[in-house]
Amino acid sequence: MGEYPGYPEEFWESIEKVEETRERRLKEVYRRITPEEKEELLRKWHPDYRPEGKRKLRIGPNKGDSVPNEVADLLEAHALINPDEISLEEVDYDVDILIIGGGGAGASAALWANYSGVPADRILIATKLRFGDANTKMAQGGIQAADRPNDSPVLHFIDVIGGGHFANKPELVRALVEDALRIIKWHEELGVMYDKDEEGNFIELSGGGTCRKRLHAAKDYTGLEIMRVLMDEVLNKEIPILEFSPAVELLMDDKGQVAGAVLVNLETKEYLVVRAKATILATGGFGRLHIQGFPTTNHYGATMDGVVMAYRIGAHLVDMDSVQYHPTGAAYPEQIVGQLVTEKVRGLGAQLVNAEGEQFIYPLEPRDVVASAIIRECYGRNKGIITPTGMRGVWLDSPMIEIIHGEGTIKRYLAAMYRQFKRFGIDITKEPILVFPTLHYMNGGVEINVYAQALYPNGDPIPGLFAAGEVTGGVHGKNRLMGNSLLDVNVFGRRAGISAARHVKHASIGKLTLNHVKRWEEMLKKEGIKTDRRAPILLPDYRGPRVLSRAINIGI
Amino acid sequence: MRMSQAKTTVKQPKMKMVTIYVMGKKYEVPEGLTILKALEYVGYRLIRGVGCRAGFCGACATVYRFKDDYKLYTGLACQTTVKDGMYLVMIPFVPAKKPVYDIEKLKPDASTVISIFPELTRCVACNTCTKSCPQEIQVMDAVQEILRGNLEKAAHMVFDCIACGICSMRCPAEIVHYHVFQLVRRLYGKYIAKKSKHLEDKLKALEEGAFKEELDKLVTAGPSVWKRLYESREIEK
Amino acid sequence: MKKMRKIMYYPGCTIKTYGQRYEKTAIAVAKALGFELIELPRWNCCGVVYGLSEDSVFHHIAPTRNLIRAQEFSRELGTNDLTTLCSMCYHVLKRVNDYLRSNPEALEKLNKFMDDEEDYEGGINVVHYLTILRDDIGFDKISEKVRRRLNGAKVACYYGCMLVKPRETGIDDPEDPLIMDELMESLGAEAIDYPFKTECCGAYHIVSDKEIVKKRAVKIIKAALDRGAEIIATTCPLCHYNLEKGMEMAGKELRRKVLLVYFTELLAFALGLDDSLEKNVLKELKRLIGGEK
Repeated sequence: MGEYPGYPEEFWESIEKVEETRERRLKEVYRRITPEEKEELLRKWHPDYRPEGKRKLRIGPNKGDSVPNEVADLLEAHALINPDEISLEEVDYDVDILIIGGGGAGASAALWANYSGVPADRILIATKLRFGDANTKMAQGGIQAADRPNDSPVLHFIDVIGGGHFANKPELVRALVEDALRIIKWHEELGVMYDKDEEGNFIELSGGGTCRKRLHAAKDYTGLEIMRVLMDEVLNKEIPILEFSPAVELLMDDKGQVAGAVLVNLETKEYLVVRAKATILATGGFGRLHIQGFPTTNHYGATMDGVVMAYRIGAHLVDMDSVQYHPTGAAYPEQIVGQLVTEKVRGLGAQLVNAEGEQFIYPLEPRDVVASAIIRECYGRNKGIITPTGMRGVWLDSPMIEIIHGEGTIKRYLAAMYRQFKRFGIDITKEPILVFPTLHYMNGGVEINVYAQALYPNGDPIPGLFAAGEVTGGVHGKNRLMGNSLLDVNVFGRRAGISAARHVKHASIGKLTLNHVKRWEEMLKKEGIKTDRRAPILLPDYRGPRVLSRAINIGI
Repeated sequence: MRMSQAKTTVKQPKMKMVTIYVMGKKYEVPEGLTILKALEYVGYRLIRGVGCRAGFCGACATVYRFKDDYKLYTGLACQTTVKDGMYLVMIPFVPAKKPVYDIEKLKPDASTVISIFPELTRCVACNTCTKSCPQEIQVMDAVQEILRGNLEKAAHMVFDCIACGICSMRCPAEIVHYHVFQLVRRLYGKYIAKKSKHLEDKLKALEEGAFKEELDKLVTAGPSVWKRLYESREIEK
Repeated sequence: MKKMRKIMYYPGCTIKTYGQRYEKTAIAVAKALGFELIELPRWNCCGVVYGLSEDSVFHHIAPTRNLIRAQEFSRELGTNDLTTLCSMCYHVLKRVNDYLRSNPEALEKLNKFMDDEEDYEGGINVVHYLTILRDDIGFDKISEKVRRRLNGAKVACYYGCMLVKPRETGIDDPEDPLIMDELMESLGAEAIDYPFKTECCGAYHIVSDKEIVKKRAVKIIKAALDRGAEIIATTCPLCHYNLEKGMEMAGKELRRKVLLVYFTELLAFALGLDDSLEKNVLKELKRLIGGEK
């Protein structure tokens, strides 16, 4: 630490311009974008609108829908397993509720299923990596809930549905904003250390697209703090967890119900058959697919497994054409490219500034607007900085925060960020941060209803299948607001747990089958899809080019 | 140290390269990679020891040394850049059983923490934990504050802990710091920090149906109504 | 007005959790007598029991770190004197300090190991609170300041073992210490002579084998009671805890109960510092000794 050189020589000319305009800009508020300007900006510059980035799905419940190529690649792929090689006679785990995924949604679901009366040993959480390794831990800025006197769930509703381009399912939005207050109360009771003032009220900030200050935060480690408290409680309840055992296929029974899953022990490569009366998908997002080549803020295992498995059994997906690029991912140094620079930095007053030191967009427009504006600034107007590795970016003027809120604010409320950059010789209290949009969130996913049941295209619930968190679609419409994802995993994780608990009281599983995989393979043939690809991919492959060119299979 | 001294005849690409040793085996990697990316560059497809790749989850704890230097360094593989001569290994797991407790039945004081973690009193103030922490936490001082009952102070001191486990691996008193700290933080958050009156009031209003009518209307109102409301809403400064 | 003499103060873990009464009265008494106890801004557990194996670098780290803290603070405060109230803390801090001052090799080894700290140079003086009262203030001066004479109250002074042993470390004679007795006499009390005043209370056996503590407590308290003691004064929070717990466990084995206080509480009472005393302690003392200042 400390010997790292910080920004290279060639950046300093621009940084000095940023410093020169800072005093003037402190009094400047860039105007808000009009709805017409917004439409044009998105259409021209948002990656979702690039026709080369997408194609129409050729198979399955959403056949004909336009989705990103990387998503289509996985949805139009073969299963990982060959049903003829899997014996379903011997069941390794027989439980009431199987939860696939150990992030915020999975942990919430497990706890609420337990609170609702399902004994701990009748629940099983299967995780791909460690319990808790999920995007939840990396969420920084906050969680929304309308608890301040000048706020209300009604205003929260309007913010969510507006941010989502009015495409959200309104009943899901209602569930989100109402449950928000109950979730925060639950967290208080569990002992989550939210930032509070001397009276005990939460210190709340604005987020992009919010009309009130309602982001509750725990410094800039909000997701980490919530996740580790939930993890602690799951461990206290002694709910069994199988780590490093991702699901690779859902199981069905001869009555058409989802009946559990086939897991694979990543370390021993053996498959495990889990029979469950209810299965909850909580597998998170798809950042590691690097859509359109973007770097990502997501954790190592974010490969859309749940969507793939649900799609194969006929679940309906919504809004898969909509990808959230977080406007501010780190663009320098190369070691941390793509990593999240939380919206909270803008919430605390930092402005987005081009290489000339001038603002070009109001920092707290919704994410898709800001992301598009930055891309336009770098590639359309060529007013961005180009790094030694060819990455482009604009400045996020963080030193403004120290001026507006007092010296020490960054070290206190953006401790994680401060440390992250300090490790590479950059002091964000004195120097602006270089940022560029990064692949961040899967806005859409498996369609659910307010009971967190996964749905068929005709709206009927898929018996035995529930879903919660980033894997689902319909809550956020075409664009999620900051602070609503941490809320989503808790609200719908809870609902999934409660619904599953109710379901298992009367459910009974018939004969296990993988016939849906056989049917899928037939469908691929019928649609003329020729491919080697198999899905889910489980983990990305970052091995260097030389190694890949010389890799051989030696049977061990 | 047994190092693989074999020299490869294959020409390396024209970037500036540095030499690292992974569990004793020598590799050339491009300068400027993080340890994590360097491991992947040389061919490791990691299952253990990778998590968020951004410094939040503690999965990639790494221990390393340099030639002619007795010092043992620690860091996170995803946030530490490789240096020439780095001799490293990752520690993907620290054996540590988490004790089970019911937070509803606990009191927020030192004796509660010590009864669940009696080994905490074995601390000899050697400060090895503080020296190992990649998050710059004053680990030993936090342990001391807990021993004398200052749970609030300790909770804030250890807030940035990502449970990487390096401190616990090296502690001669065999304390598992991150488990102790998790309990202390929860005790603070639940019992010592004041409860929010705003939240209570709003929740009461919600349960009494204060928002029911408006939300009922909103849910069925449709995009044109929502659009109008959204574009005309007043934004708090 | 004469500026108050400042002395660095090391509290120790037990004082902060169990012995708050002791600390409160000690600070108030010090103030009344013209010196100020300034708590070290940063300190750690003293390491409690002195490692009998002197080679053990590890067991010297915790106390040495505190001496370094004192060294850092001494530059700010302008004094090298470090005082403490707890007998265990006093014992280990003084003993390690003496050991390091007389063993340059050991000091060097420890300094080298603790490479995260400045080197300890051996300049700190560890001095017990009672010693300050006797040598720096003087018992007769204290006597002059007494507002409530203790009316011949029969006080048995319990020293315990850590305060007075071994001879090189202790604050008074290991077999027959009199420092606390003399202090009590200067306050107007009658110091009771009894045979077990330096007998160990059982120390940490209270955690693992309570019977041992009970037996010892009964022996000590009975001996004091047999010679007419109404009050037992202690100098150590662990001794206080053990005697109290022992008394509880003994129940009817002891024919009557005795009031257990810290010597600083008697001092505070005698000096009329009622605000520093806990309400029920003040009440009991008034009842036993008589109230008016």
